[in-house]
Amino acid sequence: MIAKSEKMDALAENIVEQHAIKGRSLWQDAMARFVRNKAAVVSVVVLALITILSFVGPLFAPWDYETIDWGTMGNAATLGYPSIATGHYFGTDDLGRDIFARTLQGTQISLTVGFLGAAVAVVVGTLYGAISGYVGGTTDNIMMRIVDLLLSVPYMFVLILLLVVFGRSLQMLFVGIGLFAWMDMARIVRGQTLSIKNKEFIEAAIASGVGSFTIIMRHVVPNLLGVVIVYASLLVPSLILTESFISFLGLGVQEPLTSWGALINEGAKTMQYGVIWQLGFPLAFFIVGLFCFFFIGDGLRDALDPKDR
Amino acid sequence: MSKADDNTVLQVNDLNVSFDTPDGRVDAVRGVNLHINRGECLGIVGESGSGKSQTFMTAMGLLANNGIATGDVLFHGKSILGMPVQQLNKIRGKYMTMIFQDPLTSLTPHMTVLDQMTEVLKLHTDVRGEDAARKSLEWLERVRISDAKQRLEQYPHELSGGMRQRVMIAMSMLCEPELLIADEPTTALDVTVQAEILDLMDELKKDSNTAIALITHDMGVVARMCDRIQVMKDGVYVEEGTADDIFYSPQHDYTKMLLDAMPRIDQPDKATNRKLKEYDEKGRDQEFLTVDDVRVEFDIKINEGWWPKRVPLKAVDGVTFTLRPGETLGIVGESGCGKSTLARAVLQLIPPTAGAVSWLGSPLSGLNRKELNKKRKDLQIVFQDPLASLDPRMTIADSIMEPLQTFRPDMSRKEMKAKVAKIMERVGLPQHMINRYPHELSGGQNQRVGIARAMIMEPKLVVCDEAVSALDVSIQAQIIELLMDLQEDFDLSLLFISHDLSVVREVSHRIMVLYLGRIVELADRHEIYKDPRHPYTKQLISAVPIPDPKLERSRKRIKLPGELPSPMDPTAKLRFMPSKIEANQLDYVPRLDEVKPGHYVAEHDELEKLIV
Repeated sequence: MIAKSEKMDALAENIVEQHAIKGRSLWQDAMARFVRNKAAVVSVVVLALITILSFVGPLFAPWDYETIDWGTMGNAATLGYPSIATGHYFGTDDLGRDIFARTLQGTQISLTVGFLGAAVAVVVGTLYGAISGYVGGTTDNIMMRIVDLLLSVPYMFVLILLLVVFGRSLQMLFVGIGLFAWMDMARIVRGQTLSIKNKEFIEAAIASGVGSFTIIMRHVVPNLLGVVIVYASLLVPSLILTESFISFLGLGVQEPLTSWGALINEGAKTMQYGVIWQLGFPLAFFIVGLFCFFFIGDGLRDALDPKDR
Repeated sequence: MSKADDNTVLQVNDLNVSFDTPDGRVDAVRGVNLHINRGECLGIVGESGSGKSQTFMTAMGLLANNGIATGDVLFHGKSILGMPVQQLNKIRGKYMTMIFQDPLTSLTPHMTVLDQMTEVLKLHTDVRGEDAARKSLEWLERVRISDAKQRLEQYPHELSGGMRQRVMIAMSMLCEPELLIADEPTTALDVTVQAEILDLMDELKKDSNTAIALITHDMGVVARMCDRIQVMKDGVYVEEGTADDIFYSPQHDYTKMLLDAMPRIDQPDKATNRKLKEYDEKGRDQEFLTVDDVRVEFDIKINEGWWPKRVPLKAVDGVTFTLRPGETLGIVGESGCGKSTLARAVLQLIPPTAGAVSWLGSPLSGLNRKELNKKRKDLQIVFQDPLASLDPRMTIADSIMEPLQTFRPDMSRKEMKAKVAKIMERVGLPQHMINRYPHELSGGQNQRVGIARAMIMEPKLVVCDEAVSALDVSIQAQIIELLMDLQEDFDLSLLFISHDLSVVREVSHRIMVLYLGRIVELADRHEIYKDPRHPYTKQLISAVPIPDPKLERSRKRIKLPGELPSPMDPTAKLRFMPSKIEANQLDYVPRLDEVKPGHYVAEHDELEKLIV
């Protein structure tokens, strides 16, 4: 009997060993899939270059973004063309300011708006959605009806109103964009939370006596990360677009600061006067930047969707 | 040993199946040979991942896109492997059909039974219209569905699991195929339903001379059904032979291990190397866990008339029992009988609608969440699905540590780690796995993690909710053994919930049988199997297949007519007392009588009366 049982244990152990698959974590898996997506990888590289350039570039530029080159002022079409000799690599605008420095400065602002806005939306939206979904019942109902109510307000109108009433400033722009961007996030997160909260590991945590808030922070939110990251990567470009639109209307950042939208606005006004570089360079940055964001977002969505293996 | 001849329906020669995955090539099937003759039932047994399903999926041309198959599959001597889909479609569905484990997902949800059945006829025969309907009805009657005519107009979701599987069988038999491939056909069904489906398949084999390939992990089912058996492991047949050969003189170690590890309802203390210690009442504090008339009701919305009505569904309907320290109480019953709900109500994970649960003399029910969380230290639960019960984003050490973080915030991280290491060793998890994630471990290992998490606070009561049901038999035996060891070490009380009566017999001191939220019988583990009193208990016990062909085929089964009534039906509790329904005493509640000391049986009519 003893001999038999030893044999059986050995056999059983054997089976256990064989079933243990040498594992990769979910993230490694996603990473491998992401790397296989050429467009996304190229986009990451390009976007990194743009970001680095926008912060490092001004150090090497002969002109800064607000200094006026009195020599070219008013003669942008004849003297302010892009040239290495004059130090205006991208040319100048009608006031004689260096487009290269201004484009980089605008890139900084636009990226900041995109990332900071998305970060605020992610933090607020995730917490709001996770709490609403996890607590459920009446609380969920009330919290979600508030979101519905806010979503039914035409936000562009309110945003413009805010900027007009409280004056144009970068802070106001952040507040305005942040106020609205989190709501979609909250809805998506709530839906995901509803499916997570019925999983057995949540019940196991409740049975272990873990408090509700700890469960949300320790078990619910980490399991939402996939969705949140994908949504955030698509939110960044849409916020940049919103900011550009607002700036295009002339309500965005305050001169002499600028942004992609503001630069494109100025460039568009003067494009028939033979100074196409005033529109072309900022527009190129804008388009390339957004393309990169969308490709990265797509890549992340494919990589983090476990069904797509 | 039979050889392939003219009578052979399907022959597989040296079949290899491999899959291209991101991890490299996986060889699922490696050089398999088999043949099935007319009127023969071939059993393919093996544990999960052995490649038993893939063999037949490939034969049916259902190989996944990243799969590569080599070798030969012959249907009546004609090669069908790699045949173009259009030609293959003329053979599959007509001459060879397949039924799957989950009958709900294999029926189209938006089509009535009649539509689905006539579609099959339209594709493969020229039976149309009235004739097709008549033929469908004929087959539904042959698979003995109650009210067959009415069922034709119903949708799959309106049928119970057993009825759906019957419809699947009727559909696959419509064209009177020569080969029926059944992939775990009864695994998702309750034992009593399983018994009926197996009987039905056996009859079809005899009446229509159909060849059946039965793929299963359950040695009991094989013992009952199969003429020849192939034992499969890691993509290879390790042993083949007649049923008698395999069961009475197994040659391969793996076959022996499978047979050894399989618990048997007629033999207690078999699957594991150790015996359950008999319960010793001496010196025990009797005030441990008392459950008094607990009821759990869920409100169900019914759309009748203008406003949806709310009707209570009685998931647990007045259950009373006590649990003594260091004792295991087994709770058995079929799906929907409220066993999991009862366990959750005991732990207050679902607040009971009425009744009281008292723990060490003080009430558990009615406490607020804070007070309850303090008590949770001593009350733990182990879940059915080991993978789903662990947070996929946490390492197993973090999962095990979680109760410590809650109840012992005074401990340093280092002390906690030491304690986790200790408990991991105790449940048989190697130390190097400490930083692994759940999806990197096997089912058995994950269940050990679940047990370690439940045990780390040294609780007094652990509820095991189908804790071994999702595991392969060999792993199941190990986990049962571990639970028994832990019980002795920590003087643990267990509520062991399972649908599998043979497993429950291995681990429990006393056994409680539930039927639609009510206790029908409660007795000592030996008593209840030797002297079952309630007709339902008798039926359950007789339905469990025994892995012993001679015994299994000569056993008489008790069949109670009719399907499981809906718990919404007010007369459901009188299912075993039709005399009271006849007497129009619809509010009568069957009493629980103590027929012998410690043996409780719910009131019922005589078995003979119920059968007619």
